[in-house]
This record gives sequence, C-alpha cells and structure tokens, in this order.
Amino acid sequence: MKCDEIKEKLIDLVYDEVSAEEKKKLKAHLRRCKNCKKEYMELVNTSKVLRKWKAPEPSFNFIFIKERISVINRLKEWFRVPGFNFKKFGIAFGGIAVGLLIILSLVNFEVNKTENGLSISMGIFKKSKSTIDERALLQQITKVQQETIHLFTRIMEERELAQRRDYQLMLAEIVRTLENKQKLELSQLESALIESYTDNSVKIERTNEVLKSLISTANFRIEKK
Amino acid sequence: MEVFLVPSDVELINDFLNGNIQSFNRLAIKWQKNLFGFAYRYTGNEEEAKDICQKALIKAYKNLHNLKNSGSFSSWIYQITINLCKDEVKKRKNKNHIPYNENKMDDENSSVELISGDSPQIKSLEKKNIKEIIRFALNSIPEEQKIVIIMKEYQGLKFTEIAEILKCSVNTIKSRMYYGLNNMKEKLLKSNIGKEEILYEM
Repeated sequence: MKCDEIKEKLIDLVYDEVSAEEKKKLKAHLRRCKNCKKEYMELVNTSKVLRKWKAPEPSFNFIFIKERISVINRLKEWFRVPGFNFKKFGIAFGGIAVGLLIILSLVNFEVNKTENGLSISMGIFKKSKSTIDERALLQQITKVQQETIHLFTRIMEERELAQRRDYQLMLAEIVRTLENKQKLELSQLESALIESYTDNSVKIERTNEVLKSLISTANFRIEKK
Repeated sequence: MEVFLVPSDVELINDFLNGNIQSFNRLAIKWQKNLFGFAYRYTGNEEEAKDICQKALIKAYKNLHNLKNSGSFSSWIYQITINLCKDEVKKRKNKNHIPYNENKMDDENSSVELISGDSPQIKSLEKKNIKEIIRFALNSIPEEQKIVIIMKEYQGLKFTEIAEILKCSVNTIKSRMYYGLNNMKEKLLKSNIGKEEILYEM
C-alpha cells in the first residue's frame, strides 16, 4: 500500500473502525513507514489530549408533566417570531391605545347651554342631549315603581275577586242541585200521598157502602119486628 | 441475549405517543446526558448547555408526533440540539458578548508556558487550563470539523451514525475528522499544551 492510501485510512485506525484484515495491513505498513507512524501516533495523542476535557455531570433532571399553559404564555408562543419583542410590543400597543383614547375624548369635547349656565362635557362616547334632571328622573323612576306596585296589587285583588266569584258559582250550583233533589223528593212524596189518598177514599167509599147496606138491613129487621 | 429489558427509544416514543407522559420522561433521562455533553462541548458553558438541553427536550416533546420514523429519533434529537447550539452562539455574537474565558486566553497562555513542574497545584491549574485551551482550539477550527470531533471524541458515535445525523457521506465525515484532528493538533501545539503528549519523536 502507498502512503497516500494509508493516510486516508489512518482515521479509521485511530478510532478502530476497520476490519481485522485491514487493520493487519495498516499496522504492517506503520511498522515499516516512519512518516505514517508519526502521523498516526500524533493523531492518537491529540485524541487522547482531547479526552482530558471532561464534562460535568448534568446537575438537573427535566420532568415533563401535563399542565395547562396560561393564555399569556400561549400568546407569547404565538408571537415568538425572530426579532419580535413581546414587551416592546406591549408597551407600543398600550401607548397607541392611550393616544387613541385621548383623541376620541377630544373629538367629543362638548359645550352645552343649560338652565344653570354653560356646561362642558368631554367623553369617549357622546352623551345624549336630553336635559332631564337627575331628580326628575329619580322621581319618574319612583313613580313607575309605585305604579307597578299599584298594578300588582290590583292584579292580586282581581284574582281574589275572580276566585271568590268562582266559589260563589260553585256554591250556587250546589244549592241548585240540592234544591232539585229536594223538589224531586217532594214530588215523589206528593204522588205517594195522592196515591194513598185515592186508595183510602176508595176504601172509605166501600166501607161506607158496606155500612149503608148494613144499616139498611138493620132497619129492615127492625121494621119487621 | 438480552437479560434486562430496557425499553428502546422506539418503544418509549410509541408509549408516549399513546399518551403515557412518563415514557417521555424516561426518554429524556436517557438522553439528557448526551445532549448536555454535546451542548457543553459546543458552547463551553454549563449554563448555556443546560438551557440548550432543556430547549431540545421541550422541542422534542412538542414535535415528536411529527417524527415519521421513530427509529431516527437519535439523529433527529441531535439535529435539534446542533441547531439550538448554533442559534445560541449566534445570539451570543449578536449581543457582542465575549465569553469570559476566551477573553482571558492570552494571559492563560503565558501562564501555561511557565508551567512545567509536577507539583499538584500546578497539575490542577493545568487541568483547568486544558479545558480552556481545548475549548479555544475547538472554537477556532471550522464548525463542521468541530461538530464531528465532538460527536466522535466526546459522544463516542460511529462514523456511520455521524453521517446519518449530519446527512453526509461517511467519507465526508472521515475527512472532516481527519482535518479537524490535524487542526486541533496544530492549535494545541501552538498553545504549548502537551508538546510531549502529542509530538511523537522517533
């Protein structure tokens, strides 16, 4: 093997990533060739020096747990673009918002003439132009409240009345049915009485006839004597 | 034959994707040492490495369901970590922040030159300086070589694995390693560390 070929494979030998057969050939060459041997040894030694740099044992353990991510962190994650600063963005956004609010309030700057004189109003949202006094408004509110209470009591009264009427109607019906029942019973009694009366009158007539015939026979016997 | 059934990455990932968060924690514990080690060698800063490790695991946690082939998890998580490392260093450069130790390099060089004894005090000083010198040397070689060296020397990955992670051919990785190691040799020799340790006299 030529030295150039060997040099290509030296690195394999340094890290022992060669087949046994190849290793034999390479070692045989190194025994003969001083230059290649020197290069090989220096590579090995450099590697040895490099390994003197020991890394410390990691002094941590990352444990993953299922946890809900807060909205702010999600937003931060969302805005995580290179060169984007969440804090700066927040400050700028806040500044712009405040500026807009001031402009809006200036736009709605108003001077009103009222009974008491001039009044200046300034606000983000325009006030309605009604000049209703607060007291009047309060009075109105109490009025409405009273009205509703009144209405409510009236409704209650009405309901009571209606209920009472219902009861009365029910009572009347009961009375009517009772009356009807009584009438029926009375008429039955009447008819029964009439029947018994006619029955009796027939009986009386018969007895009368019997008595008459008895009297007549008696009279006839007395006349004979 | 496997006696202890340690769940593989694929098993843990599938279990996690089925809703078992503890499987992800096991995966994280399994990987955090590697990821931290890589980030630590890349940035040279323990705190930054910890941050990168955390970010990489969080990214993995969030995006694992997008990983089509769970068998390629190792190269995927390494790619994430490499990108985070690059971002971190970029951020540091943008901030115009000169790492404390890099700044002091010249002073330390001179002190290293003076050290040649065997006393334990000097040994410990040397130990401390070895870290700084290697770190400085690693930062001054091309980045692609630096990454391969970290993966090979400190992560103990095979060339084929590194090729898969970096999406290069194995030969490219080997040549990067070869030139990287030679560059490191030069840098280390310039800083006077271990002339005896590296140079091979016949």
